[in-house]
Amino acid sequence: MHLMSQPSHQPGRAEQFVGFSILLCLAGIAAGVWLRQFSFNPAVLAVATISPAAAKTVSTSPAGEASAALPPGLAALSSPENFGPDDVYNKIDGKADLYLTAGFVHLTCQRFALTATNDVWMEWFVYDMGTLPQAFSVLSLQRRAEAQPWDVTPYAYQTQNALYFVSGRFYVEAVTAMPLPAMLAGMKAMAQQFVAAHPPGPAEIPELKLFPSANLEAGSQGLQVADAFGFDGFTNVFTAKYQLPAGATNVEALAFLEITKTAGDAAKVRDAYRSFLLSNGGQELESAGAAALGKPINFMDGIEIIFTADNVVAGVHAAPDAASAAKVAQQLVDGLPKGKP
Amino acid sequence: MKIVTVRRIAQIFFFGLFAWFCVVTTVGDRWWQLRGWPVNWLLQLDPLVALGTLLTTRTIYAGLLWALVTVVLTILLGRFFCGWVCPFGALHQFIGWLGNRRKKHAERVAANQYRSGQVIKYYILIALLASASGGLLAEVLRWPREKPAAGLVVLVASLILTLWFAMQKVVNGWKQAAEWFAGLLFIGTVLGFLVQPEALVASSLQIGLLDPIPLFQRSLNLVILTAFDGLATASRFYLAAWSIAAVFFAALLLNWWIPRFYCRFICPLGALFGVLVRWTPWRVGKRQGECRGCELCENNCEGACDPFGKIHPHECLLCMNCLRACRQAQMTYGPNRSAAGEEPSPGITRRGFLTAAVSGLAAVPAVRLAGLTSQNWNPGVIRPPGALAEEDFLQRCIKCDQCVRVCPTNVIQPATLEAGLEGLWTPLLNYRVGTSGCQLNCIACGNVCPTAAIRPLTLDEKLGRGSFADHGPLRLGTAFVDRDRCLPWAMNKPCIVCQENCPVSPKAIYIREEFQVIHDGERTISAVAADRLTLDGAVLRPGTLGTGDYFVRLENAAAGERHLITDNSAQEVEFAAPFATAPSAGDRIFLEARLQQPCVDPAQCIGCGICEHECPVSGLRAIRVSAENESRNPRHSLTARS
Amino acid sequence: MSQANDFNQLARRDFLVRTAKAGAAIVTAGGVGFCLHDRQGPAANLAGKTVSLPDFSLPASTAPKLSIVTGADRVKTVNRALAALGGIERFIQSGDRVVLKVNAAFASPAALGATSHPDLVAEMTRLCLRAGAASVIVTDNPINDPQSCFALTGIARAAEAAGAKIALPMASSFQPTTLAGATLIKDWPLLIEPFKGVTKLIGLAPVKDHHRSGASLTMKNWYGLLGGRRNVFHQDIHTIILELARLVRPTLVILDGTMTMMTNGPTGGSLDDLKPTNMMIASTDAVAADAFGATLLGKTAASLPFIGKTAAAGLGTADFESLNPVRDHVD
Repeated sequence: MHLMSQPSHQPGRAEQFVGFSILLCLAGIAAGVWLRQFSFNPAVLAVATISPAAAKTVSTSPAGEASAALPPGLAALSSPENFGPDDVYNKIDGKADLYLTAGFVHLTCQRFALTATNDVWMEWFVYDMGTLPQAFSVLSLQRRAEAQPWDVTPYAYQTQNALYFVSGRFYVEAVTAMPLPAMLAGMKAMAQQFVAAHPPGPAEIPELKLFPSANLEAGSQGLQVADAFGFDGFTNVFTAKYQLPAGATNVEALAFLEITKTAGDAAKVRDAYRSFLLSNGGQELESAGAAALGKPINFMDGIEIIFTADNVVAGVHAAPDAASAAKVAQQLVDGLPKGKP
Repeated sequence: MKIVTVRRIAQIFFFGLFAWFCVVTTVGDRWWQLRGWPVNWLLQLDPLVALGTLLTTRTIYAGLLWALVTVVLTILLGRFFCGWVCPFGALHQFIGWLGNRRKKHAERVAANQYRSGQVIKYYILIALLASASGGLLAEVLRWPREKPAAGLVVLVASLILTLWFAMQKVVNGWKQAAEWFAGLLFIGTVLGFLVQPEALVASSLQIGLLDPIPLFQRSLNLVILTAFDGLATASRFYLAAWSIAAVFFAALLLNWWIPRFYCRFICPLGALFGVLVRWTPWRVGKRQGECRGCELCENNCEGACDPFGKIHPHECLLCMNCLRACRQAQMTYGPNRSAAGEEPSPGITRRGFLTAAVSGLAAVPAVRLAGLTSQNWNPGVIRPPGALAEEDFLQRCIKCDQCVRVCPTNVIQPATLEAGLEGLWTPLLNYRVGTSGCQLNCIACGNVCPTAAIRPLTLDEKLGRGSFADHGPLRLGTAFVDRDRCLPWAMNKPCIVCQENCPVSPKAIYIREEFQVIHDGERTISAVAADRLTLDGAVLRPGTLGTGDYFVRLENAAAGERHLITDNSAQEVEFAAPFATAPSAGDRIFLEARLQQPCVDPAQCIGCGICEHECPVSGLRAIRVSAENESRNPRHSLTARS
Repeated sequence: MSQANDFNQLARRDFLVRTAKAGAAIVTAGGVGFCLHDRQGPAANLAGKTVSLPDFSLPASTAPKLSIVTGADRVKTVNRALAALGGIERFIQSGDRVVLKVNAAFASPAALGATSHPDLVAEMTRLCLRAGAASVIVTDNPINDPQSCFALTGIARAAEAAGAKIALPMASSFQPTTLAGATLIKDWPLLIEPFKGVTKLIGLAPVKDHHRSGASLTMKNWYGLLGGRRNVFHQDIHTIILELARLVRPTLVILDGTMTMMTNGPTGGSLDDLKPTNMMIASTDAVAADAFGATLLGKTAASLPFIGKTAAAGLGTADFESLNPVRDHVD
C-alpha cells in the first residue's frame, strides 16, 4: 500500500480506499457503542432515582431484590420505578383509589424482556399493601372473569397474558402484551422466585373459612376494606359468591360478613346498614326465611338480607329473589360458629 | 477524500465520543445518562493502563484487553492513536493550530523541528513503569530464597557469564546488553539471598498522573464539565480540582510555545507507542526522487519528526500533513523506509535509562516510609465502597476519577496529599460535601472503575444480603460522636438528626435518654394556676420550651416524675394536664430538657456518612466518620468480631 | 537500473523482515494478553495464602498425661516432672526440630515472675538437645519491643548459652491464618516463620493472675503467637483463648508454678505479688494443666470461663484428678 502526496489535490486510489475503510470503521464503532448502551450498567439497574428522600424510605425494593437474580432468559429492560401513596396515580391513574382505600403503601414496577428477543417484554408490579388481607382485597376486587386457577400461592390466578398473586403483604401483577410460552414461563419463574423470597404467609385468611362451602363459587372470595356496597359503615367486609341451581341456570347471590368487636357493635352496623338501605329507597319485605334473619329489603331490585350472629354481622347482597337470598343466608348462619369466631 | 480529511474526521469523532462519555457518566436510564454507554472504552484502549496494571497485578483486567487492539494496530501501522484517536492530542493539535496559524513558514518550521528534549517522555515512561515493577522485581528477588538450590545455580552461572563477558572485552550491541543482564542477575541473586525484597522494593501505579487519557478524563470531568452545572439540579464540588486544572491548563498553554508540547515531550503513552513502532511494515517517509528542499512538509508536522531530513519514525504521529503539503509528491506512507534515511532510535542513553529506572523503582519504597500504607495509615482516607485495601488499591488506581464523576451524591472527591504522594487524585469520601452520604442502594463507583481498584459490587454484597448474609454489609468506616460538640451531649439542646437519618435497619445510632437541668433551670415558683406556673428569676424566651422536649420536675417529686411543658411565656410555663398534687408558691422546681444523646453501635455502623452530612453542627461536624472498621482492611477492625 | 532493482530488493527484504518481526511482536503481545486476562477482577479480601500450624501433639497412649512435682529448684522439678511422664525421650527424638514457646511478653526481669524463667528455658533446651533434637528455637511475639524483652528477661542469654536459637519476630515472620469455624481468628497474622520445618512444640508458661481473663496459664500463652493489633481480642478474651487452644496443639506444656503471681497480673511489678507455691506441672492436656494451675491462684476451674469452654470443646478435661496425675516431690 502506498499513500503518496499528490501535486494536485487529488487523492490516489489507495488513499481513497484507505480513507473510506477508516470511515467505515468509525461508523462501525459508533454503531457498536449505540448497541452497547442498551445493556444497562448494573449501577443503573440497582436504583431508579437516587435522591436523599428515596434513600430514607424503602431501603430495598421488592422488585429490586427480584431483579438481583433473574430467572434465566430474562433481563431487565428498564430500571425500577417507585411510587408512594402521593404519586401512585401517576402510574395507575384512576385505579389508585382502589389501592389507596385498601391501605396501599408502596409500588415498585419494572419491565423485563426476554434476552433472546428484546421486543418481547412484560411489566412486573409489586404492590406493598401492608398486610396479607389487604393484598388479598385488591386481588379479589380485580379478579378477571376469565381467571384460571394457579397455585403459586393460596391466592393467585392467571389469565392468558397475565399473572396475579398475593404473597405475604405483597400483591403482584405480571402483565405482558406478547404471551409467548417463553415469556409466560419466565414470568412464572419470576413469581416462584418472588414467593420464595417473600413467604406467602398463612395458608388461608381465617375469616374466609367462615363461608360454608356448599355452592360456593371457587375463587370468588373477596375482601372490601372500606365502603363495601357503597355504605361507609362497613370495614373489612369479606364476600363470597354462591351459585344456587335453579332449573337449567344458576342463580348467583353474594354472601358477606364482617367481624366486629362485640355483639353490640355488630348490631349497630346491621341497624345502620338497614337504615341506609331504607332511606335510599329500599323497601322492607316479609320474612322469607327464619325470623333471626330479619326482614329482607328490596334495594334497587336486589334483595338484601342482613343479620348478626354474636359479633359477626353478615348477610346476602343483591340476590335476584327473596327465596335464594334466604337460602344462602340460612346456609351462612348455620355455618357460623356459635359464640365468638 | 484526502487522508488528512479522514484524520480530522477521526479526531473529531473520538473527541466527540470521549466528551459524550464524560457527559453521560451519571447514574440514570435516560439517553443522556449512563445506561449502558461504554464510558471507559478509551481508557480500555489505552495500552499504558493495561501495561501498568499488568506490571502491578500480573493480570489484565476484563475490558483492558481492548488495549491489545491498539497495540496490534500500532505495531502494524505506527502511532495512529496519537494522531487519529487520542482526544487530548486532538485538543493540543487544535490549540497549537490556533496559536500558529498566522505564523510565517520559517517560524512554523522552527516550531516543528525535532528537539533532543523529545527523549524526555521516554524517561518518564521508564520511571513510571519502573515504579510499577517493584512488586515484580521483589518476586524475582524472592526466588533465590524460596528455591535456594536453583538460586545458587543461577548465581554461579551468572557470575561465570559476567566474568567471561568481561574477559572477552565485548563491544556494543547484543553482547553488551547480555553482559549487563548477567551482571544484574548476579547482583539480584546475591541481594535475594541476603535481603528481604519487600523492604527494598514495592510497586505503585503512578501512570495515571501523566497518561493522557486518564488525565484528560479527570480534567474534563472535574473541571470543564462543572461549567455546565447550571443545567444540573445541584452544583458539584471537587476539592482538589485546582491542582487538576493547573496541570491541564498548563499543558494546553504550552502549545502556544511549541505545538503539541505535551505529546512531544511529556506523554508517556506516546513514548510507549514510540517503542512499539520499531518494526512497522508501513511508515511515512520520502520517496526516491526530486525533493526541492522547500520544507513545506515541516510546516504542520505534528510529531516534530523531521520528515524533510532523517525522519524519526518513533515520533511520527501519522498526521499525514506532510503528504498533503508536499507539492512534489515526495512524501509517502508505504512499505519502504524514507529515502532520506531514518533515525533508528529515540536516543535513550544507558545513563538516562538507569537514572529513570532506578528513580522510579526507588521512589516507591522511599514514599512508603511515611507508613501511610501500614502503621501510619490515615483514618481520614475513607475509600469508596468496594475499594481494595490500600496497597492493592494504589496498584490499580489510575486516577481517572470516573468514580468521582459518577457518584450521585458528590461525596467521592479526588485526594490531594491525604493518602500520601502516591494517593494524589485518588478517590476518597468527604461527607461534608455533596448532597448526602454514601447512598445505601448505590453501586455506581465500582461499576465504572476501569481497573477494579474499586471492585464492581452487587447490591447483595454491599448490603450483606443473599449469599453475603454472613459477611454482613460492606463498611466504609465508623461514625464517632464528638461529645464535646454534639448538641444533646454538650449543649443541652435536643437534637437527634443523626439517628433519624441513619439508613440501616436496625439503626446504628441509638439513643441514651437523659434529663438535664437547663441553664438557669433551677427556679422558684411565684404563682400557681391549674395548668401553669409563674416562675421568678431570669426571663424565659417565649415559646422555646414548648417543643415537647422540656419538663418541669418538682423538688420533692418522686423519681422520674416530670411534667411536660406545652408552652411558655417570659415568666410562665404551661402544661397539658393539671398537677396531681399541685405545688405551692415558693417551691423550687427544675426546668429540664429531655436529651436524646446519640451513641453509635459499631457493630451496625457502615460508615455511610449520612449522619455526618445531616449533622446541624455544620462546621466541624459533631458526628464524624473515620475509616476504622472498614471492611476492605481487616487490620483496621474496631471490634473483635470483624 | 540494476541499482534501482537492488534497492527494490533490499527494500522488499527489509519490509519482509520488519513484517516478520512485527508479527512476532503481535503474537507475543496477544499471547501475554490472553494468558493473563482476568475477567473476574480481585476478590473481596486479598488475603492471599493462609497458613496453619501443624498438629504437634503425640498420639493418644496409656502413658501418664499429667505430672505435678513440688520443689523449689526449677531445674530439679522439671526433670522430675518429665521423668514422671516417661522422660524427655517420650517427647523428643533424634532429629526433631523443637520450638520452645516461652512467655517473653514484657521486658521485665525474671525475678518479677511475669515471664518464663531463663533457668527453665535453658534446662528445657539442654534436655531437648540431649535427647537428640537437631535444633531448638525459642520464640514469642512480645508485647513490648522484642529485642529488649528477650534481653532483659535473661531468656536470650540463657537460651543461647544452652544452645538454642532465639527467633525474634519480624514483619515478615507473620502470615495470615484462619481457624475453621472461628469468629475471631479469621485472616489474622500468625507467627509462622520460626515453625518452618519444626516437628515438636513445647509451651513454657508461668502461673499468673490476669486482670482480664482471671488467669494466664498454658493456653493463654499461645496469645504470643498472634500478630497484628491483637489487643482487639481482649474484648472477648475467653473466646480467643478457646480459639488459640484449638489453633495450637503442642507436644507438651510445662506450667511453672514455682513463683506464682497471685495479684496484679499479668505485669505484676512488686515482689509482694509473688508467692512461692513451688510447683512444676508437665502435661499433654493443657486444659487439665490450667485447671490445676487455677488452684495455685486460689481460684477454681469453674470460675475461669475459658477452662469451661475449652473442656466443652473437647480439647481436654477440667477434672485433672481424673487423669491420675503423677505427684512427686524433690528437694
